Amino acid sequence: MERDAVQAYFRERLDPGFVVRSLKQTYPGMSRETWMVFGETPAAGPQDFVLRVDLPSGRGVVPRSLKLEWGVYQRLWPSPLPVAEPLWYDEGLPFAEGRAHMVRRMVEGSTTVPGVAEPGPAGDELRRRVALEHAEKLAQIHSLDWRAWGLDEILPLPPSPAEALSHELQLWKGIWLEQRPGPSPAMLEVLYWLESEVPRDCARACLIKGNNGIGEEIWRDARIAALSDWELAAVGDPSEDWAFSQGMLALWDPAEVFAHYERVAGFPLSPRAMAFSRLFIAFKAYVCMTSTLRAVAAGRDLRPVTPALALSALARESQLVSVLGMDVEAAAAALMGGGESRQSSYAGRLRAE
Amino acid sequence: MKPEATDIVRSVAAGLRDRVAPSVTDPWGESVLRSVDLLLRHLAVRLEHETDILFADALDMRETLARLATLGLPAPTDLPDSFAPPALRAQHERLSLAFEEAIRRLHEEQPANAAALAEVRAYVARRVTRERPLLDLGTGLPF
Repeated sequence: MERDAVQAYFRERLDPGFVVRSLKQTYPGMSRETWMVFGETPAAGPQDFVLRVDLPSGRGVVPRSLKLEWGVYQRLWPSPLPVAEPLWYDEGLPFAEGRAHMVRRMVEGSTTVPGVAEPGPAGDELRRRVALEHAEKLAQIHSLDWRAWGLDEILPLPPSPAEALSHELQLWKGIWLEQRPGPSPAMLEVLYWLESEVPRDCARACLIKGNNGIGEEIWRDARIAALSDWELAAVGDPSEDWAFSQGMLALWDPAEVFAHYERVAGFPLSPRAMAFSRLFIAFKAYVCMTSTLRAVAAGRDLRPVTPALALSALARESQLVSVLGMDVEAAAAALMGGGESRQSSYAGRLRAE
Repeated sequence: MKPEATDIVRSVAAGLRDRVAPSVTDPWGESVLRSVDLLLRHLAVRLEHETDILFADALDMRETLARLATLGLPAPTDLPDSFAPPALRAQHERLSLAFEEAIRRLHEEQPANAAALAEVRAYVARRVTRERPLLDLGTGLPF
């Protein structure tokens, strides 16, 4: 992405006097290109934006459209949840070779939390604050009246709250069967097992965010200033977000964190749904990371990270096969041995940067 | 031909890891080098073992499908009987598709067929064990 091209485009869409002071692509950003646009106008002074653009290959590791994520932002912006202000979405323009893109206002803060990995009492206190803040925001997401904010207009809905997880599983099974790079008897057997074990008595169908935690949200002074990256938003079971919280439960005593969550949300989590979601998230991650391989085979995606992620997903397949047939809670516990350490190291890495 | 392909790949990986990576400070450049390092380590193992793994797995699927046929899940009649490069990869995929079809029929038509389920699960466990050397790539992140 060239500075001059971005400046010309923003002048056309925003203000003829807009000047790009600097442009920076965020890291790691595997699903889409995210560019931080630092600019100013003669009238308004400094104005910073975030530009999300589909990859040149069409899509990255998330098999959902940017337009859907845009729709989530649009509907959540007037809601009580803190999200960045969405400004516009477009596609098929000369800008960015016609790629789908959206622009939102930049929120002051960082995806990392400085000091959260520091040892000692100050680090402990910070970790506790961060863990409770994260739990509180998840509780707010999960208790949001998503119909009132129009999310039922764009997100697939389960036939009933009880089927919140089984409906999600069917959606992801469909994505896998449609986009997988080739046959996998092992994962198909895992999928039939997951279908036989999925809880069909979920208490509620909630808005779920998808990938969440440090590295995803915009943090400022140990608070979440904006919930960011809604690319995997769905209507599902709240346990799915905890299973996809990328090491957040390793920050502080989970008993205190869950107690705080339940106080704010007003309802408890089901241990069985939580266990199932840990297995389901492993499957979702596998689907995300292997469904990119068609673009690799067609020569559309030549980034080394894409096959590298797919190889790590195949290791996940092996982990799921190793727990096939076990009781769901025992299987989740066994899976966490490898999964949690990987997630924790990811969060730890982001914290360190 | 000498050097062997695996020796070449290992040399390239070592050069990038030991000489190039320490001098790169851009986070995207560092990320690409981490991905490339993982891919080269995988490639070195794959060049050495992939044919053996595909051959053993194709044979295992053929034999397991034959046993599943005796347990009420007949296999297609046009499956390959012998396996060799260069068709080995296509033969393996054809057998994998047939195996998936057996799994579908088991769960959708004969969910109580415990003997067949045990055969299927034993096979998928052998398959991932067989592929494990290709995926044992250390603990580093892929990006």
